Amino acid sequence: MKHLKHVASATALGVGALLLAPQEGQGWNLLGHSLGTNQRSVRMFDNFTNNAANNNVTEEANFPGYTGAELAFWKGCVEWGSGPHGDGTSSDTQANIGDGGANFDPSWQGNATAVGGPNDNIASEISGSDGGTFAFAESSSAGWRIRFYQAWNWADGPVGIGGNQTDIQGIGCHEYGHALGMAHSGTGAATMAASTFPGAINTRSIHSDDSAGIQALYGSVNPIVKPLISDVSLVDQEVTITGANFDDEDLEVWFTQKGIGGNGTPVKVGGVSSSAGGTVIEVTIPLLGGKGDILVKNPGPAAGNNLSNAWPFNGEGPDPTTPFVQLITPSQWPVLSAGNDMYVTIQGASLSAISSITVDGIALSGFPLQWNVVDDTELQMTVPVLENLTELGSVDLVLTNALGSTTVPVEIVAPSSPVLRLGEGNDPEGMNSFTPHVLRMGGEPGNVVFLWVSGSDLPTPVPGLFDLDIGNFATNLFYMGSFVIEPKGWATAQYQFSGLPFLTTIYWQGIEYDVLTPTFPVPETNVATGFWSF
Amino acid sequence: MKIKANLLLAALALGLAGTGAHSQILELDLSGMVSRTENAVYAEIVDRKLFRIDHPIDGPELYFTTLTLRGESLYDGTSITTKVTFPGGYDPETGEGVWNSEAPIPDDIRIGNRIVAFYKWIDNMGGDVQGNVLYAAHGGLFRTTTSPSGTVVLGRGEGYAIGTNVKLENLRSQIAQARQIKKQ
Repeated sequence: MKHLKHVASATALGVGALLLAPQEGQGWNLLGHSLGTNQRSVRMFDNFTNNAANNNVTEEANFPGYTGAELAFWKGCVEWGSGPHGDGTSSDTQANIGDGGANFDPSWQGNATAVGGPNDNIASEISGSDGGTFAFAESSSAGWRIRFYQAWNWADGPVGIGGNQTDIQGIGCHEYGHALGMAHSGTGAATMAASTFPGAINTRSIHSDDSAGIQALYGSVNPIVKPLISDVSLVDQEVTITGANFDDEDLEVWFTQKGIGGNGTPVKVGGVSSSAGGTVIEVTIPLLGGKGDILVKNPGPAAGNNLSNAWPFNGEGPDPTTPFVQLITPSQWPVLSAGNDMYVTIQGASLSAISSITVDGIALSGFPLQWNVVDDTELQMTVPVLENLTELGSVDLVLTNALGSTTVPVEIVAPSSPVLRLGEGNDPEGMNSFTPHVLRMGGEPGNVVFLWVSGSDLPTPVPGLFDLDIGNFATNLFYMGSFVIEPKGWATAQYQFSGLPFLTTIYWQGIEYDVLTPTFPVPETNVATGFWSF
Repeated sequence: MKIKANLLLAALALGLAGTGAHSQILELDLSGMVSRTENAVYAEIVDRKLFRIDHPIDGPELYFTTLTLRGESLYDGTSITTKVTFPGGYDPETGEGVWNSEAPIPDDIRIGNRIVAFYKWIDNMGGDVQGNVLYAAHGGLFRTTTSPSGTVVLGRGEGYAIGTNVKLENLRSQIAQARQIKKQ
């Protein structure tokens, strides 16, 4: 798919160049692709080998948390942003950083731990040279990778650079222009002009020709539509974002990741509301949020006019902790389920890096996965078969991450209606001649389950007594016995068949009879389905 | 008609610029290019191969293209068959490759094209790949066309070693002059 996009991109180049012919006096050109809001992340793998690439150790108010090559490249990228980054000032030679004026804003995501693939949105150095190329970008709508050739004397500025040095910020700005879809410009003074020379820093600041190009590609900013951040303040862990055009609800606030690594996806806090007529957002810094940028995304299409400008943010989420559980839904868990649905939701904090979960000493499986992390504050899980259980009641739920474990008691109760689980709970469950077929029948302890098997899923109604969904009016129905439900909430039966035809489907069902207070018709379990493999 | 012709020319020029390489390369004039390279050829592209390197340090999915060129040296007039390599490339038959901003566009490197290419030996053009590198990638390759008055080399514009269209014979002379300066 990636390659098709490349072809499309290449084809679109020629067509695009014809359709998007610049007006007189303009030289910009487009590559034929653009980056959706899911491709706005920018990371750097800082493997620069030249000392001058990382000798600027002074942080800047508008670029908190980063110095050296990262700071230089970050500036080069946000120069393409829709408006001033913070108040637009910096310690370098530019009057303003953030001159694109288009519905395009990058999301700085800090450091990567490796070069990454062609679509991972990471900039890094590459060894060697081809003699005359400073850097290059591999780009498509699926993402990009930028490489700076090691042979050059890369420098991080921030003010000027030596005549024999090459400017990470300026050439990074040019390459990021390619990443977002700009081709070379015929305007010699443009950042997107094809060639430059050592010592030059003029491409740090995009030219009006570059701005015209990115506005043609992403659309010009509409000041009454695009979310706009004009200030961010921080008290303890509470962030107040001030601006305009924030929707009332379902907003996302994007943070830069704390630390290094990640997958390039911004750390997002979803479901956020605004107040004061769409001008104020209050949100708590997520655990994984760090210094860098904040962006706000309105609900709706993944379009650049739904994503705000990037505003500097100088805060960090609280230090990681062991998993914290705030709420478990449902609070009581049926001891047995027919299948493996992840019906339990756990909400809290530090839930994104869980390494294991156990319930009453039974570990949830990593494959097939029996839990799913929604985000750092929420995960969903299934309840395994609690083989260690002897009676219903409280058991330990233990969640573990790299920093330790958290134990929470949970209440295990009888199922609210009779349950039949075949084997691992798959629907259908594979069966064969060599493995015993385990059936678990869940219900109130002391009740009796009468179990049937059939090759037919046509019903067998017995008015007033029970109403089976299998058996074809008792013409294809085999009684397998009765079983008393144990104090732990289920009974177990085990069978071993052989010689059935390949892919025969077998249906199981039971009815649960209340010995102490009989009720009629007797409630039946779900139908458990197996298919014969060999 | 004149307006239409101008529009067509502008569109073609845009097409060339738009589909050109997308990197930032060293600004070079012809003497600068000659001083930095070991040879230049006027040659036909007789073969083209794409290969991939997954390098433990330089990273995964590094694509390179090698062109086999058969023609004559513009430095000494000898017949020559040589291979030149550049980072990037895409094989439409296999679907393999990557859109590399510095690579020449597919139209530039069709088999059968007659081109002028500048190159030099490089021990590492990334991923520990060594060989004759197409110098400055797209900036080292120029298409040619034939006219009643002879072969014309198509210039790429300001900042490139051959900025404007030039007759091959004139280019040969200019290269010879540049080599003289280089020797001095």
